Amino acid sequence: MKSEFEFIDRVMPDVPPPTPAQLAAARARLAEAARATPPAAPGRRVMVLAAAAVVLVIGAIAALMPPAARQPAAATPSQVLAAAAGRLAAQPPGAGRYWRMETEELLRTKGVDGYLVEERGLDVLAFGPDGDVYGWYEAVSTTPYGAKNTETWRRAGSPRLCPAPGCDENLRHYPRQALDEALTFHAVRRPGGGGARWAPTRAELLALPQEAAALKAELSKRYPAGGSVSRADWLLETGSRLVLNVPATPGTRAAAYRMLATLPGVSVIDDVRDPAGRAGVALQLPASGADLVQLVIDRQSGDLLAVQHVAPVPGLPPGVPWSASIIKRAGWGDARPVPPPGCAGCAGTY
Amino acid sequence: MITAPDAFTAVFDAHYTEIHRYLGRRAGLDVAEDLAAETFLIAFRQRKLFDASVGEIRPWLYGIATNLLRRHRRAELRHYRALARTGPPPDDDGHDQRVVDRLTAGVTIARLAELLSRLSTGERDVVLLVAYAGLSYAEVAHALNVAEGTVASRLSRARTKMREALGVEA
Repeated sequence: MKSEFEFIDRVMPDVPPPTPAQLAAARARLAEAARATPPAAPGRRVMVLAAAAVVLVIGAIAALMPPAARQPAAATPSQVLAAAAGRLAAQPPGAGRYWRMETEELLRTKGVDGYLVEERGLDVLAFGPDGDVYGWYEAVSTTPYGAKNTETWRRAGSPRLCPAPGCDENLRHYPRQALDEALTFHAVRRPGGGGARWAPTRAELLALPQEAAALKAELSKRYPAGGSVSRADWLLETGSRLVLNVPATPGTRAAAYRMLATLPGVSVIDDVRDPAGRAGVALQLPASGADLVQLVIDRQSGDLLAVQHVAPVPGLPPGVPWSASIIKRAGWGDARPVPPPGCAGCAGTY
Repeated sequence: MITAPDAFTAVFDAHYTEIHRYLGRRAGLDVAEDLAAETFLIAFRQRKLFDASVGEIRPWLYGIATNLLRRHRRAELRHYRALARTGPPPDDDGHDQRVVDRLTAGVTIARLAELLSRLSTGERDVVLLVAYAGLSYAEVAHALNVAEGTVASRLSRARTKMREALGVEA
């Protein structure tokens, strides 16, 4: 019944248009606000100042305004995300025979002696053109988390904390996941349910739609009906995997951001920091129980910075992740990944 | 490209009056003057973030204006309550007695203002972006950065409330 909205438009009182004097005042206020911001860098080319008064005033604003380095306060997180997704979609798709991703893995957990420790490691995952897949993980360090736990650790005699280099010389590197299923999508399983599974090829992933609605439709086609996994859970799982640790075009990743933002229970939060201290806009996804998954996205490039889990863990300040994958590098190249010497099962096929 | 300053001038000229009108109808002229200026200042600062591949500039501007309005929700509700109490301002041309289509003759600005004040912020945003700005569902979705389905469901809820409040048949 479209007439309801026409009715509102026709019945509700209108307001008079701004007079020329009010319009000029509005422009002057803009110019005044612009003057309150820091001036442009010396030597910056003065913007176009045409003869018309409008152009003069607005051009002056333009010359005084700094580039949009930060989001103005009124930009909603969703607008920031949409802009980031737009810039990601505009990135070139990349070229090379291998898609490779390197992450720093972080886990804040209770150690054997009862105090919180922070485990760090490096993980490599790469997919080749012929169904070949490579992956290995190396522990980097385990340290007490924060001053209080460090003090407890010292009082306990500063015992050696593992995993760390030298803790297990027979297992310095190992694949963190089953490589033959590295491209397989598993939906969140519910108790007693069988879950859902989709095993696309690399080429199929790279051909996925680059528009949110089309991507959702395509992923929905893979949704196994009759299982215990809800369609929303399936889309959450597949959408977040597409932006995390499988080859996909920038357009598909951007579409996945947009699709995820529309799913039930998903929220968008700005100014979230990853454990590396990088700030971004985050898609916050529901996970199991009180656990929340945050996909932290760079505002400027749209690239994924980190995936982190946040939950109320005793000893951790609220909002501090207890687990995170911090993206160090992700992209295409021609160099064939070479697993470290002695790394058993670190290359295979999917 | 709206990132060019002279192009942004054209954006200002093309859309300032309608954004001002939209804000004025929702929150009153006192608030509208401030918010319209702020809308364009924010748009200018964010001009490099505007993504033409996602949507048009007009919904984008309405989105900024609508988000700003949320900081002035009380002013908007005061505006509706004032209309509900007193009807249109004296310089209005007497729309309050207008009869439209199937709507009953008893429907007045006062009743409509009362209804708008009772909608949720999200419902009111989509209703008035459609009614006042003439945006399509897709454009409202772009303006508010929500799914089209969300727009449709909010409009559906608002319609139901309208029918109940105004006593009209669907």
